[in-house]
Amino acid sequence: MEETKVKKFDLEDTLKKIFIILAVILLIISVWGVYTSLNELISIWIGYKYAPIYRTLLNLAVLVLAIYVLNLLVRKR
Amino acid sequence: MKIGSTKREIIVALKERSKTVSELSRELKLAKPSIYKHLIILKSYGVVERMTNGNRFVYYRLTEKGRKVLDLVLSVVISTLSSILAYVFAQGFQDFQDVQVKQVRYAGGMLPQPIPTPLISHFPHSPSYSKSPTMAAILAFIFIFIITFFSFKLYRDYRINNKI
Repeated sequence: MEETKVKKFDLEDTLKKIFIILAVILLIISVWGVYTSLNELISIWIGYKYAPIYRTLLNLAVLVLAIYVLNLLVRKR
Repeated sequence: MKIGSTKREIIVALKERSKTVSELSRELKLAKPSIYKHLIILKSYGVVERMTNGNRFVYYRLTEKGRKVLDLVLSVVISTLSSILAYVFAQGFQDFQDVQVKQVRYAGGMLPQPIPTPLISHFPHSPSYSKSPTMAAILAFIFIFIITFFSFKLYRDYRINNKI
């Protein structure tokens, strides 16, 4: 009886982990998609002479966001 | 929470340190009752708090919520100014190009008509400098808002952690 309980718990835990991994993969794909779309948007709507300024701003925004998220994660630990 | 321009000015004025109604009145060039009325409303929102330090003066200072509102206000102001600047720059270049095209067109009618440049060009080295001033302004607003807002948040966290 106890063995089945332990097995059920393990299965739930594994499924949870799989779903978390799937969600993280989807998150990475969508973030990458948004990043490339923004870059494309810049090359279409902003002239070639100003595009590097906008690309720098975009990368800076991504950098600041990444540092903020890392800061939050480290502080929680 | 609706914050008008006077309340926004009061929040920005309380950024550095706590101040009395008289100090705020002098700084913002507004009557004391008007400042007091705005402070009561801000206090009801939980943005500012009243404090006394033993003497007869009553000071007002920003709460933690007030600091967050200040970050948001400053970020919006900075990104709005940047987007206006981006729009003006982009518009300026478009006007400059239009003038150049007109000059070529009216050069005695002897020169061939210039080839019109498409609005959206997929060529990497298109002759157009700025294709859409509105889009330039929107993108500038989004990017600069994210940069300033999260930088302010990080700076505040740093100050709190190091107790500056």
